[in-house]
Parts: sequence; structure tokens; C-alpha cells
Amino acid sequence: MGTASDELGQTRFEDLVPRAVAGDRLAWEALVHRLQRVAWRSIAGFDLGSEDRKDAFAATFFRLNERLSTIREPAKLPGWVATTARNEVHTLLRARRRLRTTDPHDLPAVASPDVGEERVIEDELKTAVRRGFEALSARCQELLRLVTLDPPLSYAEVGELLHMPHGSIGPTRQRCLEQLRGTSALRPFVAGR
Amino acid sequence: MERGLDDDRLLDLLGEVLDETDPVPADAATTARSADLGGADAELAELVFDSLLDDRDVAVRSEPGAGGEVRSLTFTAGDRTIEIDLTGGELVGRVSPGDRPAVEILQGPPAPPVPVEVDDLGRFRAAVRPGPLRLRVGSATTPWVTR
Repeated sequence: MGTASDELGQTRFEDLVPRAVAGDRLAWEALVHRLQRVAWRSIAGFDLGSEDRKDAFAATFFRLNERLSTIREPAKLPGWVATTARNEVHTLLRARRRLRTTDPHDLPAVASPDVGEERVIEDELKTAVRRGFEALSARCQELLRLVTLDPPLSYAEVGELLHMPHGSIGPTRQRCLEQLRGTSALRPFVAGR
Repeated sequence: MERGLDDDRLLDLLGEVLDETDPVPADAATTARSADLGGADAELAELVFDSLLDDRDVAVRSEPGAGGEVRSLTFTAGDRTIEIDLTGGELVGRVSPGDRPAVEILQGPPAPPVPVEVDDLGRFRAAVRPGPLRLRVGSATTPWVTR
């Protein structure tokens, strides 16, 4: 990874934001590096072409860049980025006149993007986890994508993104993990089943 | 097979798998990193109207999928008003007062800003690529327009 991530990888958002606002490019690059997976993963599973998804991703960081000096609680940046990225996607879908009026939880399961197919994952357990994940409902996939992020989103933030009561995130996560363990791909790895 | 697959281990594994199967594309990350930090100080124009996001307006618009649909946006910066109409690959705009401020179109950090000619009435016209764009008008910059 680049110098920015090596040098500033552990620096807190509270310290990075003012440095980036002051024009410190390394601090900005570290911010992007730390938040890029949050942005990318929170817009997985939508009915978007890969170029549109990249546009929504880039637009999220352009917007972070233009709003940087107004960020009051840098610790909440992961949640801000996830919300902004999903708003960008909704705007794009609307621009494409493809915005569905159905409840987002009713959307059909979406297979992993093609990029995954070409990458060979050596470890058989990981392969099983990937296959098991692909067999889950779209709702479980979406929730599990958001609760396995680093830096993490709070349950409150995940709840807002998914329009679910905060209190139901933990139990739903539990049910989805149980479903994952119960998939035919993962069952052989689970002791006592 | 006695491998432990408790919640924490399973969540860790899943996080790794998701990063590996759906990684952030390198070119998208590069674009994000190269965002212009100078913009942080610039005066940010305010979006006051976007036909795409105004339901009342959308309701009387043409059917989904109809070609040539116009998206109209209005921004204000101080006492300046910036109006643009986006149609596919073309942008038509007008600034008022029409004191011929410098107008540039920005389309992603890798591409340099493109200056456009403004006529005596504050009107301008330019071809635009797909993807997000913003305008710099005088000392002000509009927010990014997602498209």
C-alpha cells in the first residue's frame, strides 16, 4: 500500500479531517483509503452497471471532499460515507429511471459481481463462506456486508441504512449467521451438524 | 472436522471474503484519491432545485425510457443564480447576473476543468461526458451533480 496508508493508517479520523481540510494530501488519501471499502460495499447488490457503481463511489468521495470542512463529528464518517454512497446510487437509479418502488428488502438475491468469479480463493473454508453467502437472501447479504466492515458501522447506522429498527440488527445478524452456517457449502465445516 | 466457526470467526472470514470477491476497483480508488483539495475552501454554491429530485415536476414529465429528457438544476451563490439543463451529452446553462463570469466544467479529477464561453446574456453551452460533473462559476463551485 502507499505511503499515506503506511504512515497514517492508524491515525484517527478526528486528526485526519482537519489535516485534509488544511490541504494535506496524505491525510486526504489516508481518509479515502480508510473509507473506500465502506463506500464500495455499501453500494453492492444494487441494479447498477459497474461504471455506474464506480461513478457513485467516486461521487461519494467528491462530496466528502467538498463537505470536509463541515464535518462536525469525524468519528461518524463511516456512517456518513455509507449513507452518502447509497444516496448517490438512488439518485443514479432515478436518473436512469430504474428506481424500483418496491420495498428494498423484497429485491431478489443478487449474485456476486463477476470480478469474484475470476479470482481463485485457495482456502477451501473461504470458498465455502463465499458460496454460502451467495446462497443467502438479499436481505441477509446486505446486512452481513454492512456488519463486517472495517472501520465498523454502528448498529444504529446500519439500522438507518436498511430502514430497520436499531434493536433488530443484532437478532437479524444472528439469524443470518445461522442461515450461513446452515448452507450446504458451510455445513461440513460446522462441528456437530 | 472441529474447526471453530463461532460468530466472530465467521464474521472475520466473511469480511475477508467480501473484500476479496468484490474489491474496490483500483481506478475508482485513484479517482477518489485525486479529488481536488483546493475545492474545500472554495465557495460552495447551493443546489436550490433539481427536477430529478422534485416529485411534482417528475409527475408531469415524460414516461420512463423516453429519450431526450431534460434535467434542470438551479444553484445560487451569493447574489448569483446558475441554471443548467442537462440533456444526454449536452449542457445548456445561464448565469445571472450575466456579467460574464469565468465558467468551467469539471468532470472528475483526472480530467482538467474545461472553460466554456459565456455570451452577453450569460448563456453557455457545452458537450459533457457521462458521469458526475460540477461547475465553477467565478469564485463559486457547485456541488457535484450525480448523473
